[in-house]
Amino acid sequence: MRHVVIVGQGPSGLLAADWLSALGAAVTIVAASEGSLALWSGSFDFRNYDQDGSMVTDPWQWWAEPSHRTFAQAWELSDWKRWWTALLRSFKDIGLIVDLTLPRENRWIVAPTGRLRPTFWCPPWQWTLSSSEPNEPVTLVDVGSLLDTPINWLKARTRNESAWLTETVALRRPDAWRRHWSGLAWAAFLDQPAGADWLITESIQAREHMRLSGALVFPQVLGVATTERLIQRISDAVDRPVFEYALMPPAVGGIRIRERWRKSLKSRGVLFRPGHVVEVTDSGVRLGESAGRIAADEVVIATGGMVGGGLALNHEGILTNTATGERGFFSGELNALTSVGVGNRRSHGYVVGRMVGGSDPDRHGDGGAMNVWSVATAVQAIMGERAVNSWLSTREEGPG
Amino acid sequence: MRVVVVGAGATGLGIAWDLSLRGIKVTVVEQGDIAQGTSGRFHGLLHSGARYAVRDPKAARECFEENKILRKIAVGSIEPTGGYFVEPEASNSAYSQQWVQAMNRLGITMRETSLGELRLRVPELHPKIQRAYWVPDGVINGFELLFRMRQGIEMQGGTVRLFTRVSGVKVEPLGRVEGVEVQSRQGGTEWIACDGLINAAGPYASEVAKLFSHPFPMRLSRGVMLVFAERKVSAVINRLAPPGDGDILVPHHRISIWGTSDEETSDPEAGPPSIEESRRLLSLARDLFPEMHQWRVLRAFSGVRPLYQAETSMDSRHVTRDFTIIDHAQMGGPEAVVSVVGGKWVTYRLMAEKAVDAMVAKLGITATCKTEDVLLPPLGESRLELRRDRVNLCECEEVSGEEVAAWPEASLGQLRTRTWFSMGPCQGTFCLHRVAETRIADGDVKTLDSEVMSLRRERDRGMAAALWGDNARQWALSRSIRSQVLAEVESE
Ligand SMILES: Cc1cc2nc3c(=O)[nH]c(=O)nc-3n(C[C@H](O)[C@H](O)[C@H](O)COP(=O)(O)OP(=O)(O)OC[C@H]3O[C@@H](n4cnc5c(N)ncnc54)[C@H](O)[C@@H]3O)c2cc1C
Ligand SMILES: Cc1cc2nc3c(=O)[nH]c(=O)nc-3n(C[C@H](O)[C@H](O)[C@H](O)COP(=O)(O)OP(=O)(O)OC[C@H]3O[C@@H](n4cnc5c(N)ncnc54)[C@H](O)[C@@H]3O)c2cc1C
Repeated sequence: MRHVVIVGQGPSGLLAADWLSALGAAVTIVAASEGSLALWSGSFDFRNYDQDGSMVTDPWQWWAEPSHRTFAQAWELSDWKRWWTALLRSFKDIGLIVDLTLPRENRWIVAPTGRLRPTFWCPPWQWTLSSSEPNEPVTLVDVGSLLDTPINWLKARTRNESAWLTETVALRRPDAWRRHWSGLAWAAFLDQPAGADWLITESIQAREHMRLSGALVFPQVLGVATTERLIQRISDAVDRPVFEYALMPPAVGGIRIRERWRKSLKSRGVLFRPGHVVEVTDSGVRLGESAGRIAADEVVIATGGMVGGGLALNHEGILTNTATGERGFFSGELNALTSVGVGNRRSHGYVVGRMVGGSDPDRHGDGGAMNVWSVATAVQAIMGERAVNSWLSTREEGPG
Repeated sequence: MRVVVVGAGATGLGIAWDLSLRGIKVTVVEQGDIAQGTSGRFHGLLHSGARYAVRDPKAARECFEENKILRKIAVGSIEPTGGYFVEPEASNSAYSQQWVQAMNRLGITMRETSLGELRLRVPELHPKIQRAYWVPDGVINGFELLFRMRQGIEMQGGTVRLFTRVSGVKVEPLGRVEGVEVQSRQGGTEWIACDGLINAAGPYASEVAKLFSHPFPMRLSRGVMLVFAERKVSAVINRLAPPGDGDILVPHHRISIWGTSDEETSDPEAGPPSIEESRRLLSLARDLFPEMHQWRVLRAFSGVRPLYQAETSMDSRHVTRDFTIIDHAQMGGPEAVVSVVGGKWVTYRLMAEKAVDAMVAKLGITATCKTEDVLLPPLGESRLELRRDRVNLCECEEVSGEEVAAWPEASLGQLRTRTWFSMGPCQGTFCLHRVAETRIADGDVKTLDSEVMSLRRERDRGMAAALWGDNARQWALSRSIRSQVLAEVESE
């Protein structure tokens, strides 16, 4: 069995582990610390903004235009279709409630300051809007003193937009509540039976004050482990759809996905090891602080670029790949030093995720696509195209 | 009787406070915010005078005297840390001897410190320091002191007009100043009548002088400073050498500021430093703080020194730090108009005293200066008094909602200098939108959005100018959160 070491446990590392282990590789994940899933709500972006910053409505159409492609030059829409479906299957396998039909267009989500932002695929609990000029009525839930909720921003933003009906209902605080409760503390409370019961009672109370008949939208605090059950219970109690809007990091939504993914991968035999990789060789990786080596047939570098700690910049402008030790001079482009070895293995393994050059999720909103494309490319190179194709077709045909 | 003062920096507010205490009505006109000029972009050092002892004895003497006065009248806004002058390995001991002689001649307090004691007190210093002297340096909390002055002026019935620019000066036929034309941000113009005008526009002083007479020769000098996240030293550290670039570290609040540089410029606007300027400044620290490149850097910023020199042949490091009072009537300009240029933050009170002395003589009244003995009224709200179970909006600097609410009129930019929010390691990444939210009820979202974006840009520029180590990673994280979580996408 081929042994692959994946450096990094962010979304690209977890995705690589998922697909490689499904294809029969033995996988070890080595990571220095958390990946970025704890920072964001888990919405996967395809392409959100055009070069000039304007919003993209139809990412399929955007990618269909060859001159647009910053990366994934050789990918046709059918490739995107196959691999996005593979991603959704993986999410289904780890226990999310996922509709396998791919979105046709971007939808919009609400940021913690009430701005609207396009995105491609969202986890089922995420509140989304079908246009950037929304008109669906919505009832927002205010749990009180929770920092980073967009309620006040939304109210102010929609004050003069009579087309969008929003209302707010406030819940009375639970006895256990403390002033410093963050989103995560709320989620931990609601995961407990007592917390869940309180929530249902309060939601029924709040229903009396709801004048609109649209969705009921909570801040993203509806538990980490019990979310779907909670949402179902509230929805039954108030008789309308229930969703959440995302908050600032730490992001409960991303943490839910991370927790389920790790658990599922572990059950499939993927090993997780803490460690800081400082060198990648033909025979594996070497860990810092004399923590030894891990032998591997192949190495995947999913170290997250500057944000993830895979790149370090020093005071002289020297940029270092922290896992391979490679150095280069910082040209002002954070993508420098990253486009080494996507797909084709060079001397330093396959590079995936945010380490890949050619994409800028911050400006373009293409982070999810970058993860899917780079991981798929590395998986094909490691496992061989034939094996990958037959695996993909069983996934497409198999029962949902 | 009314005097208009141009500029709400240390000098202008110092003048207005002095005038107020002498019973003269005053209106201060400031084009931006308090602390927006050089007085909010300085090193924070309460000089003991030691730095100028050899080259500039008059300025040194003035610093020493004013240092003692400020400790009294601005108690609470001055941190009496003390300071050391340290001689790095392989430096010229001849200068040290000269310096010791000059210090003795001037009578500036000084005491040689054993290297053992120095190492204990300042373990971050280079192990091969050869000699060290203690001097009564200190640290000025510039923002707070400016707000105290403003409060004092208003308590005495004076007026401070922010975001209002002096755009014209009206002179009566006999040659006396009659009033000034001012423009608000929104574009409106109005006249303010006055019997005297004092120009304390710092680096813009010459520009302001053009409104009523010939410009005068200034020697503007730009300086860059680096901010580190921790309080690395307990006292000010100066290199014992002729004043040069990169030779002072000032502990300030919870941070440390390393500086500075001195580069002649013609632009009164400081502009953001470049990464090259920051790297150069950092490289100068080697013989004092060999590990500085590993310290957690936060940002870089710059300021412009409003120096003045009639002669033009010197480079700006050699231009005196002493100040000059210009009586424009003597130069063929209008009567009862005085400009103040040069000097230091530490000497603002003395500069104000001399400028107001000149003004009262012009106005034909007798009123003596009181600022040496009157305590500047402390600010009502103290950071330390606030409740302990509070929820902090800004976690780095521990700024609560109550503190923010104490400044109901302030814009987000003003709140930063008043509460210190967004000044810590995250540079506003996790708190700016929270603080902004407290302003939603009364503000309209467009104004708030634009205030948020302008503060983001300001923080971002400072971080980008010191892009290395953990700060580089924080900068990248901040960029991701701003665009991918908060959807603050700006088209480029
Ligand atoms: C704030 C934020 C919001 C985002 N929002 C969205 C969104 O809404 N939609 C979307 O599609 N994408 C979003 N993204 C995702 C982003 O665009 C990237 O796709 C994603 O961060 C890339 O993940 P990654 O797995 O490549 O790296 P990361 O998640 O950063 O993981 C890097 C991993 O590598 C480890 N590591 C680094 N160096 C070493 C080393 N030398 N040795 C061992 N381990 C190492 C780290 O500890 C970590 O575990 C967001 C990202 C951030 C930061
Ligand atoms: C890098 C650097 C480090 C320094 N470090 C120290 C130090 O450690 N210790 C020390 O004592 N001194 C230090 N100084 C010197 C000190 O900061 C300055 O001497 C002092 O702040 C000057 O104050 P000011 O009030 O004269 O000028 P400013 O603070 O610049 O005030 C002038 C004001 O006038 C306003 N203005 C200009 N034109 C108009 C107009 N037309 N209408 C209305 N308003 C107008 C400006 O907006 C500005 O706010 C340093 C200076 C620099 C540049």
